[in-house]
Amino acid sequence: MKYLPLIFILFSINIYSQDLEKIKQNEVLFILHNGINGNYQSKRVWQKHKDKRASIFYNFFFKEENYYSLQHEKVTFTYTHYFDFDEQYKDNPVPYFKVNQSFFKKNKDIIVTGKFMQKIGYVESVRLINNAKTIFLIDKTEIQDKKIFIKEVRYSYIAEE
Amino acid sequence: MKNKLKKLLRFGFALLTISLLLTNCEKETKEEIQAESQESTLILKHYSKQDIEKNPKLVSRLNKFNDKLTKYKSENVSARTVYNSEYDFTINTNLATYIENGDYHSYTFPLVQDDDEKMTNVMFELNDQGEYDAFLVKYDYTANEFNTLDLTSLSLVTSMEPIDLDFNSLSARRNVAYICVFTYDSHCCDNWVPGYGCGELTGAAYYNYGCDWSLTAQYCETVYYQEEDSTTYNNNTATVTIGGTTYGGSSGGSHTSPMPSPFNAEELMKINVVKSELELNHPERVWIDEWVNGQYAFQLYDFGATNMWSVEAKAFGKSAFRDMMLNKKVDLEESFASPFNLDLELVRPTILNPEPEKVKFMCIYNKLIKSPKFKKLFIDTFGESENLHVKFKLVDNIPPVPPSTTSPNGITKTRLSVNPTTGEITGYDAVIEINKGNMGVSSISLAKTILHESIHAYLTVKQYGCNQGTPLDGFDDVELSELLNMYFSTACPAQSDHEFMFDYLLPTMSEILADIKDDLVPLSHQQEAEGNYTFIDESNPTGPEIPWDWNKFYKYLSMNGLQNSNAFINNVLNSPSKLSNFNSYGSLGVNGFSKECND
Repeated sequence: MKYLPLIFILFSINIYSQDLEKIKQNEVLFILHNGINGNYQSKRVWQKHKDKRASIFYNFFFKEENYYSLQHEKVTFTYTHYFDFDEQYKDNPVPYFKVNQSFFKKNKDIIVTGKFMQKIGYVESVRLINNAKTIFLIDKTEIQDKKIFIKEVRYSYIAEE
Repeated sequence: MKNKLKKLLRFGFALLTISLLLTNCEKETKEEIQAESQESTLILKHYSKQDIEKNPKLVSRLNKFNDKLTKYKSENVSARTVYNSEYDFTINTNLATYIENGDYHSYTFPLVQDDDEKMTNVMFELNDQGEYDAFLVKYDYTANEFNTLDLTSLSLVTSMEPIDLDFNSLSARRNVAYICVFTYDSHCCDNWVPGYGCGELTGAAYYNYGCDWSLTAQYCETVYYQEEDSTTYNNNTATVTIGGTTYGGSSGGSHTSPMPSPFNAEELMKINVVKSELELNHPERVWIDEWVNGQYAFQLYDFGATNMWSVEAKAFGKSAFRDMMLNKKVDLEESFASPFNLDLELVRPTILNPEPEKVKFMCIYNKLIKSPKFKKLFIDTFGESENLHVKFKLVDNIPPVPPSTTSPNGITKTRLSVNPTTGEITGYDAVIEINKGNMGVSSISLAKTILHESIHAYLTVKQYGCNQGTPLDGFDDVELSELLNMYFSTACPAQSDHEFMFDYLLPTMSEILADIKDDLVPLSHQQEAEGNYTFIDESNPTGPEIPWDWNKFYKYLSMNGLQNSNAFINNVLNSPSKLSNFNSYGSLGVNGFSKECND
């Protein structure tokens, strides 16, 4: 009984390492967001007032404090219909597609959740994100009729200067 | 009068005799040249400055002569004595024709002169005492004629005036000259391709073709200038060889080679204008007269003429000239138009390597420097300063600066030295590095990054240089310096500039971004932003959203990079509505607007 915590820790490390390494090997990163505010996640929809197409900011907050602001660290992913106005005028929309729910089962070990990011921490999460060439996000609230919508998002950050 | 006429007739007769001799012997001369060339031990070489400097005795004489010449000229001018145009020349000491014939050798230097002037060279030849005698060799044809006419069309009468290198008895020595007839002997370089004009005088200028003319004094007459209008001929007093017989103790006939001035009339005019407008001193004039440096004079002339030789242009031109002398690369137009005494070498695309990042950088940079505010703020700081230098550099990646985890868009590294007594900055070098990995953003966002880094470079000058650099509107220099020092001592390390920018420079940055908006954001993109996006009303956050506001856009875009300053944290990060607008405007500003930049 006294070894139970140790066994639990070793088991956790094993699971965590395995997932992380597998994810690192992929150039494509899949993110799962709850789609609602709460539980260290938030979503802000920026509605365009004419054509009603929305830009969506998906935030993941960390328990760690920011070195500068003493606020929680966060990472933000942004979804827009077009990456920019140039692409909009070319009518080249951002990839947005639907897959079967079996996608979850097949790829559960490489889908990054908010919980997983909390586990590996802010710095490692950012490293993982920076390592990815393409980031897809699944918004749980958009899952309909056993269909999952996957959309490409961009990691938004304000670079230092 | 009678005596004068007699002398003139004698001189005319002598010239006629020489002319007839040359005309009659044209074919024979050529044949003789060929025969002589095969047997000749005469060696002719083109010497660069490097070669010339291997002869310290000559260099010493040359320098001494140039110094004396300058002193002589300046004394004449300052004392307002009679100006002697005879010695108003500049020797191009960067190239020479070296002729060796047994123990004899000579160096012939061109003067800086017009193509339409009668050609004059300065020849140094070794005398019996192992010293150098100098002669002004004056030809009876211009460089244009020399380059285009053939042997039969040219007057080959040439005078050699001894030059007193020490100027000890200048007036006495100037009264002697030799009127010589030279034998023109074609002399080709080793890799000369036969049948390409070799042996013909036409086009035989040393820098055009593989053959040169070596001139050997065959017949000379000494001319005494006893009076201004009186000449006397006196045979056999010259130390020259005539007809194979040495007279006057000379070891042999003088050998020289006509060297046209490297500059034509227009180029010479440009050089002279630059000398005059920039008020170059003697060493500077000597430098700009060098053939290889002529290009700089032409650049400076074009630059000055374009800018109407304004006071500002002259000051900048002088500063640029000094950089050129130090072999620093200077782009006059860009440097003058930009705020910096800058080096764009590392960010400029080339035809062979049109690196897209460099193309984009230069395009955006050129838009940025059109902003009057940007120019006004910085031009006097860097543009006219000899001590303040800024270099731009594009780097593959800039590693995150802990505790940050993301690569910065840019970074400004400065190195400065300050005179502790005067407080003046004596040397300042800033290197602005732009991260190529982060250049895939909108053009206006990249312009903001360049602006942001430029402000870092500027603020360092204002902090340490006190009264150096352009004053900032609303501050006197001392006040600004004290303020910056206060920020430096109280702010978080590396954030002092950011705190200051947030508190005082957002309006300035906004004004500059407004100046370049139309150049970098296509109208359709502007209309898209204005027509389709709304923002939180910061004065009524729960009320209806309000339309796009360019002033807010400039302000929030300018805040990018300042996010770790206390001012940002207190004013924006802790205000949900402002933070939301900051993110929204930033999202479009950084990633929404066009990444393209069109010249």
